[in-house]
Amino acid sequence: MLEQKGIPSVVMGTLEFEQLAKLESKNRGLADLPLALIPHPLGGIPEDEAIKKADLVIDVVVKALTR
Amino acid sequence: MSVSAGPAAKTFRMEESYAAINQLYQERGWTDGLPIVPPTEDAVAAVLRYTDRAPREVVAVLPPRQGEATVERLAINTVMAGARPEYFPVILTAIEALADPAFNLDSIQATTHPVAPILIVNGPIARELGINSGYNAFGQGFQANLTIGRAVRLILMNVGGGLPGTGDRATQGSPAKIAYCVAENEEANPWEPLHVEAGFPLETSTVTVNGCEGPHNIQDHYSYTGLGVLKVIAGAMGQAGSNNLLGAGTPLLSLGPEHAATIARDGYSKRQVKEFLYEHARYPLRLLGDEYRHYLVERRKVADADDTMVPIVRTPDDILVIVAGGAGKHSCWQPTFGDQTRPARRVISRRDGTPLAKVSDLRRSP
Repeated sequence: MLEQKGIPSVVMGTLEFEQLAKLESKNRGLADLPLALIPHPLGGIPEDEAIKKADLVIDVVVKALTR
Repeated sequence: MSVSAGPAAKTFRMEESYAAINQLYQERGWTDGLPIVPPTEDAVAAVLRYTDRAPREVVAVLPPRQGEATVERLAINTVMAGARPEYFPVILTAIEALADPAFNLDSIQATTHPVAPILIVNGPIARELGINSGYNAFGQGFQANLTIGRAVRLILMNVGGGLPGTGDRATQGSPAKIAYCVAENEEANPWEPLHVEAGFPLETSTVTVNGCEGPHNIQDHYSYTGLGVLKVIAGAMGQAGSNNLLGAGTPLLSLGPEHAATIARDGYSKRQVKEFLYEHARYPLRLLGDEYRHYLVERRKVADADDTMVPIVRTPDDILVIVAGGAGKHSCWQPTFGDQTRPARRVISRRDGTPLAKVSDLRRSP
């Protein structure tokens, strides 16, 4: 995985899958892997709504990738 | 060869009734919802007589829990599923195939898509164990199909942690996620069976796994030419809504013996069947909604034109074809999870890799 190779990474997903993301990160020894979580859903929404949701977490993504 | 050893299973003593034991397994979430056969020490030992591996050997590490699938844990779930001990080599081989990185079990376990690993068993061991390939091949009535399939599902849940709502986020799921094991009807196959097509001798036994939806029926009582049957099959497979239309992958066509015979009689090789379906199992871009059309144009780079027909695979070779079932004018196809998974195959073999002619060769005395 990228993070384990020393490349800063971030998982993007919706809050609906927060528990699964945390479970998988922990089980793979990456309990501190940054998560950028947006309100559900991501699929089946217009592009402008998707951009609004991205805006909510862009700071989290930038911070995670510039560690 | 170094082998990692996982933890030994815990044994606990229960004086309660069978009903009470089953209730405990239900309450702890250790079952698929059906009653289990209690995995007593004697029953697990009987299963372990059908392997030449050590009980604590780790066969695979299964996501999302990253659970260590020791031989012993596989044997315990085999008993719980109601499987006969001699089915164990097939179950263990299936787990090895599911752990192939190309199969991408991580995504198959967790996805919202109703995908289940189908187990296709080829070769003489399928017949030795009575794995049904005839009438009702994907249905009920055969201990081998149902309990081998169920054992694999219990392992994916109990070892892998694929539990509904947590590690398994299937929106609706599918009955195929209960048990999904079939043998190919090699006697009724007018072409080479799946494992021979892949380069194995006819007498070698294999387990092939593919990340499939449940069977979608294709009924054609009216065509009496190979071309006629193939056109109906192409129409069924080129449907909207499958992951294959969205993003290719390796869908499975399970031909009924009568459809297969008609197609072969008219001169089609298996390769030509795949080529025909690659060309004709397509969906008209113009019938899709604007958003879906936009996705296919942007991501799959299909031509943005009203006469564009969208394929479900990238190449003819990406369509798997088997023959299964009894008499009648029905076939089925199984769409897959799409481009994020590939089929995987393993030979049913001894630990040193020597193919097994029959599972009874493995059996050790108590």
